[in-house]
Amino acid sequence: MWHEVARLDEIAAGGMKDVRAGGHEICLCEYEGSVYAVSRRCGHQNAPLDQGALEGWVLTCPLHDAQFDIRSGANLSWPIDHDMGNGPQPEPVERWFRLEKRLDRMTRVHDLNTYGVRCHAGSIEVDVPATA
Amino acid sequence: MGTTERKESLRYLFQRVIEPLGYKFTPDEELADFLLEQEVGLEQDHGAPLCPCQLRTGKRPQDMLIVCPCIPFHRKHFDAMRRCWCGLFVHQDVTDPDSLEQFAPGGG
Repeated sequence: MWHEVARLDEIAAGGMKDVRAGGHEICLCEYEGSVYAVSRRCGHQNAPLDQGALEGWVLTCPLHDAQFDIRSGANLSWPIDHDMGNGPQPEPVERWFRLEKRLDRMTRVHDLNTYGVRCHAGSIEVDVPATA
Repeated sequence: MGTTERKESLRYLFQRVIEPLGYKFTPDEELADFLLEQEVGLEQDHGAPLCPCQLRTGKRPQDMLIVCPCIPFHRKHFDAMRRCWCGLFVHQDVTDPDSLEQFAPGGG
């Protein structure tokens, strides 16, 4: 089902915009004159991708830098561990990072959902499943 | 995550960095593909696409200087060689990378 979600002049060249449609959180991405729509939540830990960085067709998550192809939704890279620095950290911090590292090894990064997009009379419309 | 997709995206992202620096990918496609594949493996193991031909120190500040493309960190050396250490990138006017010699400035 097609939903009007934004106007074309609301998204800058090479920019992103988060919208809602049919219960879905969607991130609109502009790349070389075309608008792409992917799920707004990262396939790693759910962070809002519109707060990340869009470099051409590569979308980088703001939380752990996992990258995705906005054209296909494909996951392109694993998340990156936090920089703990070189010196010893307080024990609670060390413990937390050890836990996070262990859990990260068991965490799967999912591809993003992609949605059909069409532009009509200055508006952006996104095709989302009716049963959201 | 597929290696082929990651190689394609690294190539795309690197291109945007190296072009303003006056460099390009080596015209030796087989070498470029091989080196990018090594970088994908290094990224999976170490969190960053490190240079495949340099040793890691285990110290983050030093290791960050060999994250590909490392041209900005070793510009003088690479400009003298007209290529980077592993040969993934060459100066934009280089057409025959095999004719280039790998050396250290000052004969070192």
